[in-house]
Amino acid sequence: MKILLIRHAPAVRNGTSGVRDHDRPLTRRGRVHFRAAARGLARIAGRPDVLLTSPLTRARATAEIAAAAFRRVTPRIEPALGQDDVDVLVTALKKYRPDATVALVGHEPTLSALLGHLLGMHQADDRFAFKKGGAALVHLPEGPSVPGQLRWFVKPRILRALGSS
Amino acid sequence: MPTNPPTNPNVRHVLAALHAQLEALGAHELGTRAGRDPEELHQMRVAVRRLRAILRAARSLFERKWVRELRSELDWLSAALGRVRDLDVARVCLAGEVAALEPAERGPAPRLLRRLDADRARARDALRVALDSPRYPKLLTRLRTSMARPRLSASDVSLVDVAAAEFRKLRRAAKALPGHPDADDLHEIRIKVKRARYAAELVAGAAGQRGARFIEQAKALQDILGEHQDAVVIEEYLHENVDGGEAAQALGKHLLKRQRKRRKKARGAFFEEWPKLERRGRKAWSATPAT
Repeated sequence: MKILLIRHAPAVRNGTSGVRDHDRPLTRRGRVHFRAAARGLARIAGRPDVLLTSPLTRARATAEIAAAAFRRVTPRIEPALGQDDVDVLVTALKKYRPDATVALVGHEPTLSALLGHLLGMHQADDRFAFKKGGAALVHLPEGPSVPGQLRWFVKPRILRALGSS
Repeated sequence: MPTNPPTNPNVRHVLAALHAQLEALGAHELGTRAGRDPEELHQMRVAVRRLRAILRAARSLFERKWVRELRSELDWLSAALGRVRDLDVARVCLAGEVAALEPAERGPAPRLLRRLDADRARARDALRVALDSPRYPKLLTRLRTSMARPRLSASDVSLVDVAAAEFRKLRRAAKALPGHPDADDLHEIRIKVKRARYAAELVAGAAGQRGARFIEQAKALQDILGEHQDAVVIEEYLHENVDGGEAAQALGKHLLKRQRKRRKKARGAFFEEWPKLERRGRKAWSATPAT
């Protein structure tokens, strides 16, 4: 199994008046930047079999941009991505075929905790702080319960560079 | 280029002030490197910022290029120190906030604090690399030789005029503040308060009691605005690092709310204390003609 972890692109501030945290949309700049980053992502990651997103608006919007770049994949809401429990997330991942590539669009600090967990580095989640719009790819030859290998961990700036070249 | 000790008393005064800060910088370097007491780093950074501020206030006494080159090197050092300082401040504040929560409310807080520690460790490493790089001793040598042989400009300005001008700039900016200034507005005022204060300190002797009272109040305002800025920096960190999941959202919301409250309080205190600074500034610098 391959897991592609993506953090949502920059959204309007928490505390913006009239917008509930759950509904915060991406900023214009966030959308434009992530469109370029998603092209880079599609280049180095290839199309995932499944694209899961947290139910929060900022994640869903990010997933839609990613889906457009990957082509022929539709984002699906995974409620576990909207919680903070890594174990619940790992359980959710076990549903997928062992040879599947699963992309996840989620939040911090859960994503970095999941990444640490998938690599068997407990309590090392702080080493992998995702930037907004950043991504990582993990190979899990024996499924999500056995520590896998980190293939790459890329900042959005690099993804954008890859997408524009 | 003059190689003899400068005879201009203004220049001598500025050089003495620079020397004092250069010593303070050196005195806190070891403590900063050791990293046990965050206050050491803070004091080292203050010395760097003051060196920069003095050079700025007295810039017309010196050759422009001379000042610019020194200031840009100081900026580099200040930025490396500043990154660690911001995280030191955030760590103390957030650790306190988290400790005040019931264990059941903490959610991903321990993870957040671990990340903060990791970020701090990285910033410290980067600082160590900066201090061990040839650029740092070069900067110190340059500061020392520059002070021994300053490149003077042709003009001689009165430092009192400089202090008065800095105060006028501050006053103008404060007058132009909107009723609900945002973080950037207040940050700008904070910088101007700092400049006005350091320029006043350069002429503290000449400005007498009134000058001293101005400096005292400027310091109080600087502390208030510093509080405000600390809250802004912490909010920034939270926005970047906590943004999803139910427990994380609840925690982020709570912590952000606390910082916003802190900002609001500081903003209120600023408006309360500002008239006093304005009054004291007018009294201290009223004898100088407006330019």
